[in-house]
Amino acid sequence: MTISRGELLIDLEALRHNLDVLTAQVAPSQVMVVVKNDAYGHGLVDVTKAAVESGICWIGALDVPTSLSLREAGISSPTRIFAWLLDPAEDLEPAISASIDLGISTVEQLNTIAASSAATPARVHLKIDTGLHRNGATPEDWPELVARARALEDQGTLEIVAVWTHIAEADDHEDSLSIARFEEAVAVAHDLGVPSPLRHLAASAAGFARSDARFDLVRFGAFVYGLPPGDGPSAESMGLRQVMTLSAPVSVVETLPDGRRRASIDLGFADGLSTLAPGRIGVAVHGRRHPLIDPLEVDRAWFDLADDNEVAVGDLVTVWGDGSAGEPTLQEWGDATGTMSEELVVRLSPRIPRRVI
Amino acid sequence: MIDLEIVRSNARILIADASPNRIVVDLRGDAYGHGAAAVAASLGAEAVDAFLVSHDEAAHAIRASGVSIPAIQSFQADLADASLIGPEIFGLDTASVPDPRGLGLLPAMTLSARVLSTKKVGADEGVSYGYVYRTQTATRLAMVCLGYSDGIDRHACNGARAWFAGSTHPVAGRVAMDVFMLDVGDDPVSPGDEVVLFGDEAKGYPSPVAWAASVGKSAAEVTASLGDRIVRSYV
Ligand SMILES: Cc1ncc(COP(=O)(O)O)c(C=O)c1O
Repeated sequence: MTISRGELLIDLEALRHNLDVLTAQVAPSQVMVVVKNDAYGHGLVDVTKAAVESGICWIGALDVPTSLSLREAGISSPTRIFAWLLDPAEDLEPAISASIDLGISTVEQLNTIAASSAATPARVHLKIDTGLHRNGATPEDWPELVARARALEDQGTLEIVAVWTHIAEADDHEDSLSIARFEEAVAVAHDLGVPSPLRHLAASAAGFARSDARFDLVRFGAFVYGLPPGDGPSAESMGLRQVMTLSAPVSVVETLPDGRRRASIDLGFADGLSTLAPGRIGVAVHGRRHPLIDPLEVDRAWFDLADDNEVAVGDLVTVWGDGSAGEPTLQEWGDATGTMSEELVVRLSPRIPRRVI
Repeated sequence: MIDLEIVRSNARILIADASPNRIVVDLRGDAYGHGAAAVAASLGAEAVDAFLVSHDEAAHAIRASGVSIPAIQSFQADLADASLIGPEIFGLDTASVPDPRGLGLLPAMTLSARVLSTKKVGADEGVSYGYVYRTQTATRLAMVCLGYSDGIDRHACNGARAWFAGSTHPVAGRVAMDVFMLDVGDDPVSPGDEVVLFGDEAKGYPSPVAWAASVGKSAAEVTASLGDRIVRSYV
């Protein structure tokens, strides 16, 4: 097989393995698979279908357009699709009619639902801000939000499916404070006539590590793709496998005037590789690691060949993968370039062809 | 938003400087995020001898937009006797042009986004992942619809500022995958309001060069790695 520029290999077997690990880890809580940003660059529809085939009932899609595209791709009820980043100007009728679960933070959003012409009740998850301070109702605004939702529930406009939050993963103590604030908000909702909503709070790191963070449902993104947090335990040590491999053929091999030998691949900063990479991380050819060197160009990266005479134009270079061909993992890339693996995968150019196995 | 009139006027300044050499305009990386086909079309009547592009798709797109100036790739390019005009044509800094504005080269791109929601918070509150930012006083936070998946650096909170309602404000906390928070202070802010990350300094916006410097990158890297969710519109 030859590839011209670069290729993303997506190993659905590894993904299914990770889903089994995560499902077992958090049982009896359920798993939501977060597929925002084209499934963290892994391919929205392929990943969602694999998750549904593995028995996953909850898909986290971020926004309404992504959710609707999944319904169009055949992800039908009873699979639940959750959207929580709503455009203030958005008409919610198509989402309600397609039975998309909506994450709701404000009374204005409830009013938008009430004003829509949908024939079926909207499924809403009421969000409380437990410290992250992005969206979510503040504790002061929470009773009003719940009360308004309850009134609309009585009118048949909506159904309160869940109460939820998102936490900062700042440290264990801060997360414990958020969990306590969440439990308080659940109690307030209970007293306002929401007896037993689903409760969800945690994403990957807290959901994996802390049983008191799991509640009824854990929203797993990064760990589904085998992407552990930086500077922590490796995917392997958690029993997870990295799903994505990025590779490209050698495009040039040359000797510089000073005698050093270098080779290139046709992926550069416009394709999503960071200019912080040269000098900090390498790539693998024939199982051997070679350091990336400056300059990282707009459409090309160079690596040092040292005394390796085996590398020829067309040879396969593995930029990152699960490490089995001598290449660094995404966690190593994130640590080396001062970021996290999620930033690396979602910044890759969508023009790099993807092959699913 | 990309102002093609500015690209043209920057091009004229740079071409006048470089003639009588052969002129090659560097449109690699989809014209550093500005859109190779649209930029090439806007330069169709200028004294440009060739465009340098990253791959076949860009060359095809330029031809398809009716431009007769050839689009070539690095391996086909003989640049020995040519002047290569780089990202400075978009008003961005390069090794050879560290201060584009000093040469009269204005930024062609204005990067803006809308506020999705707002929130009042007290003093000394942590914001976003890891609580790396803490509010100094009671303030208003605006959640802006751009994140690191759009190419906005996760670490933009270490000093980057964005424009809102006449002045610039600090990015508050780590940029998330899809949104970032802006600490707008006492300014009244509502969902739907516009925030500008960078653009023409003369309008009070941070320049692309200043924005890039605050995330430790070159402006060309910043614009070239902006994601496709950001709609490119042209004037
Ligand atoms: C609300 C929400 N839940 C869950 C996730 C998944 O997070 P992670 O990738 O850390 O699992 C995200 C992603 O940022 C999110 O915004």
